[in-house]
Amino acid sequence: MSGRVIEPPDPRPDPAVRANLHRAAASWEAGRARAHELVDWETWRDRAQAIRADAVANLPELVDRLEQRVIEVGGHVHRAATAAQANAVVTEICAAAGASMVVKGKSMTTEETGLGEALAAAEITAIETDLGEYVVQQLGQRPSHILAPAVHLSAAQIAELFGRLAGHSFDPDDTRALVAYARGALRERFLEAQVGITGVNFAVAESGTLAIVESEGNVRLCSSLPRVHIAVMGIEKVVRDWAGAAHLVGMVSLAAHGKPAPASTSFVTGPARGGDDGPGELHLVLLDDGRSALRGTELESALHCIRCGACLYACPVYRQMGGHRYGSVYTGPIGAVITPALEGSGAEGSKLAELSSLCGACVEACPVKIPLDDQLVALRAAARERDPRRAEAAVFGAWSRLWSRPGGYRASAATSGRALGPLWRRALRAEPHGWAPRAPFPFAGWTAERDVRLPAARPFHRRWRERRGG
Amino acid sequence: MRVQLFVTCLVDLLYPEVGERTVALLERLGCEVSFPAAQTCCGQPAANSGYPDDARRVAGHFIDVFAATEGPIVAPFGSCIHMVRHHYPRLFADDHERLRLARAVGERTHELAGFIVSELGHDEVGGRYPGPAGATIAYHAECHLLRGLGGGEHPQRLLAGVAGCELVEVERAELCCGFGGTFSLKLPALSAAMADEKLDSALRAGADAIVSTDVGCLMHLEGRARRRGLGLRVHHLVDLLEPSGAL
Amino acid sequence: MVEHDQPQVELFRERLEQVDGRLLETESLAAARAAARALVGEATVARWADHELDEIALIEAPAAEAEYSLIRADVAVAASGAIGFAHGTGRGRAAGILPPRQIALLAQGDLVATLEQALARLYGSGPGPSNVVFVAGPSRTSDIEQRSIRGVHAPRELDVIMFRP
Repeated sequence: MSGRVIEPPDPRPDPAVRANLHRAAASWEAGRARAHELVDWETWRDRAQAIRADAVANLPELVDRLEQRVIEVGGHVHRAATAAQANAVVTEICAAAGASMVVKGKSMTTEETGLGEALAAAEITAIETDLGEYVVQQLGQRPSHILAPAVHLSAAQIAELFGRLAGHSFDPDDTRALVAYARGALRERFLEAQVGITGVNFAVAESGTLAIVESEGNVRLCSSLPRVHIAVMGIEKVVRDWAGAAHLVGMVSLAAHGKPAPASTSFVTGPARGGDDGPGELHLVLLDDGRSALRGTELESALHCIRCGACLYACPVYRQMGGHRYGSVYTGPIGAVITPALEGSGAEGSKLAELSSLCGACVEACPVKIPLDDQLVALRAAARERDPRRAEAAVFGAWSRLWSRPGGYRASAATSGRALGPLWRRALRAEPHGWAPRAPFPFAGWTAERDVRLPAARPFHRRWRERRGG
Repeated sequence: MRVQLFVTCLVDLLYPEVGERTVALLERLGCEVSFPAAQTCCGQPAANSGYPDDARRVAGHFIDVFAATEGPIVAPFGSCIHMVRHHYPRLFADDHERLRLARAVGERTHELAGFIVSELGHDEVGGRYPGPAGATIAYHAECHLLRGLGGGEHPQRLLAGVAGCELVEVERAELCCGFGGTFSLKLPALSAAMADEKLDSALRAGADAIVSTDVGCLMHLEGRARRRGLGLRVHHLVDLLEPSGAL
Repeated sequence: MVEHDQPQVELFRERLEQVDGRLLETESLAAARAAARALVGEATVARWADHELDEIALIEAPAAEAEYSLIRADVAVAASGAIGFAHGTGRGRAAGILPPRQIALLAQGDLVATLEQALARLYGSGPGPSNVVFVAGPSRTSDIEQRSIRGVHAPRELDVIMFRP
């Protein structure tokens, strides 16, 4: 898999993952309630939004400063304009380190570039060490959620996988034993690997420090035990200063889990210095690949995302579909925006913008107040311009011309009222109380799943004219 | 006080009795109701589907009609009010004069329940459940009223004063019902699944009826309930607040 | 001084316990060492070189084999229950993470209110340490059907022993 779009979306509910998704969403809801009790949520959101807006508004300057600081403390910085360049530079570093096996922490950016496949093509095995990612990798699947990559899987499926790998069976209810197996299996890898690859949550321009959050400890191991640490980040992850980074670390934890801090946050400033026995080599890969192009557009604030996953948990569509049916690396509301946004003038991913009822739950949940609903509408408009849907455009064109004149509007109301006279009503199998199981174009999609309410014989405007005059 | 009724196209064409009850209710509460007869639609379907030019054509007419009136503009429908207040400034961002008018008109708009509670100052206005007494009702907050306008609790407050029924709490009541305008036509399987979750959680809570302020949600939920043969009834808020209301 | 800090200590305790960590308050470094000794007993320990950690471990072992990690926390954050520590000479990475249980000694004066304040302490001037970790309770995962399990790759138990120097 390479590229942000893997296949066209399959916009249907996925009953197989529903129970897991509901449980995950319920857990997140409880976390949200806790977060609101712990801090003044709206004030914290405003501050988080301001920090991200400052960073993206000043992106070139802050990325330059970040690069300078990282180099000053002995790190290497590689700018990658495209995913292919990012993959190439990472592959080169691994090859130069003589690594045939590398350990990897969870990084959506490396999913986006398809780093795993690129390394495999160079005969370098990248072992995913986040538990959910490890499971998904072993099953040959894609992760389905930004934070919880295995949310679509049951304990039974995981137990079955580990049973195959270990050569003995596991009780799906003995979660501790399942985790212990993963811990043991991965411990060997951490100790053997020459290179550890991680993502970056926030990069502090002021000091050149990379902040990486996690729950399991695998990121610490990836960035501690091997002698080379490669950190891959989208350029938008930069923040100006320590204060901003501290606030956002708290925010991502509150928004994702309702906790004031992540289980673990690593602050990495260059390769190991002053007696630190960590990696002697640090490489920071800065990926652009469509990000800079969003600056100055209506979609710029999509770059503010801190990858907390809240919008996925809040979304009523994601709740039914699950991540895989999006067919893209980034799923949920943020995925539906940034995938076509980053693709730019290409048409890839534009169908993702349809996967929303525009309910606004994502906007409400977002810790940095990204107006995802407005951005989805903007993306739909851009898609129509680029790739017109003739029939739909004709319908809306006719509709807007008729309905921008009272005469046209009333004529269409009268026509539908007359047209839905006795003959039509019989053809549509209408019930006396005005409901029918079938509807004509362009409303046929409705009656695939629902009965349709028929237009009233006497609309309100006619009743008003008859009873009140004028 | 004189109010301008923005009846909305869905109410006008599909639920005219909701329009009638709205007028009767406002008049009972002491308002003089005018109906600018040239009104058509707010333009939301075109805007949401990515046809801003078409939306502007219809929205421009809306602005022209209501800019020629005075006083509060009230609609029994949060989503259309949200369109006018929130989206018109974006639609007309490049048209200085229309933008000015859009803002001026937008400031005068109110969703009905919010108008009754905040502007007229009534926490309850009586009413009666239009069915067997002792009914259990579940309130469904339309998304644009709940999140866009921040007025989701106004209908709930008014429902508490209605005789013959009790409000019941429903799990995940804030979830979208899956109407979403053109979403319901384009992604029918997802739309229906979302309706099912809403209907099933109302049934689990023991509700006899679902009440909302959005006839889009109502016709979607009732349409699905009928297709599934569920006995659940579906009502607009004014069906309970002014059950015998007529012009 | 003690009374003035007490609400902050109580907040730290509450937040640490919420993430399944434990706080032991002691009167002195000697008492802290005694408390640590009692916890460790005869289990194997991978310890950092900080002198505060002397007189605790009976049996030392390499990090990959030890039962306990024994470290010194440089700072702690009351708002989250997190401890922060910098790696460096005599403060190896492996000893700080591989063993299944962890004990961290913390001077009460190093407890601050927020992460921002904690970072200001560690990164005063110059580039600061090459690696700092903030740990809020034991490591955990909910990747298997949302069931919360402690102890994945980093320790599954965390005891913070606070002392007044």
